[in-house]
Amino acid sequence: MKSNRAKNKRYIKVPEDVLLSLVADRLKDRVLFPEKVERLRSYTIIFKKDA
Amino acid sequence: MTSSDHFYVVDQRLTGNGIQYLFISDGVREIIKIIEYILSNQVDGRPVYNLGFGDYDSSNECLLDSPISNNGDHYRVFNTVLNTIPDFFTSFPTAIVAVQGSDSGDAFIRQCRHECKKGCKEGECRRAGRRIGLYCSYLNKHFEAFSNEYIFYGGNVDDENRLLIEPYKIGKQYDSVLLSKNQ
Repeated sequence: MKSNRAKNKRYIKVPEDVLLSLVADRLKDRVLFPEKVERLRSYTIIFKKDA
Repeated sequence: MTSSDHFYVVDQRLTGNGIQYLFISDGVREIIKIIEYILSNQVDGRPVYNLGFGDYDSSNECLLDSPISNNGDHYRVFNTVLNTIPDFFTSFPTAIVAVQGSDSGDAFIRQCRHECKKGCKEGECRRAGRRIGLYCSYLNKHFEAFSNEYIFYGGNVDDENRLLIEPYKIGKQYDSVLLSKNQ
């Protein structure tokens, strides 16, 4: 059975821009999709001359 | 930029080596989506940025770049990703953007071999490369319209781990699609 305190709990919807800002701060300076980036970095990229 | 039925409004952040865009996909449920352009290579003196896209999983604070969200708004999400391209080139006009599928690498094929019941032969994977196939299919349909503003290239990896780039040919299969701004 839920306590009165749990029943009275209120949730506040965080505004979208604030939420995104919080997430962006958490992700700051991280490579977000490292696998793809590492894969691309592992390649030598060459423009085909005969194309 | 204002939100519309066709795309979401994004939150843009310049990072040390690129740009991140965040938005909330408001479909069946709310999902935080992230688009990342990050410097990865140089080719002929020009910077190449990888375009990554995925969902933010707040419970684990990690990014998932392969989920199929089934959130009922995939066109709106796709349009939102496309809308970031002109904005990116405003900040990095000489850059080349590389798009790869999340299901194209060796890691995906190894993982797929563990889980999949399709029984593909060694060295084959019938699930691999579907995403880049979707992107190419979209580009094939709109190539002429987009070509006014952008130059497209297709790239395939050879046995020596070289990504060989050529002018994009409609209908041809590629591992990667690259684009730059038409100067």
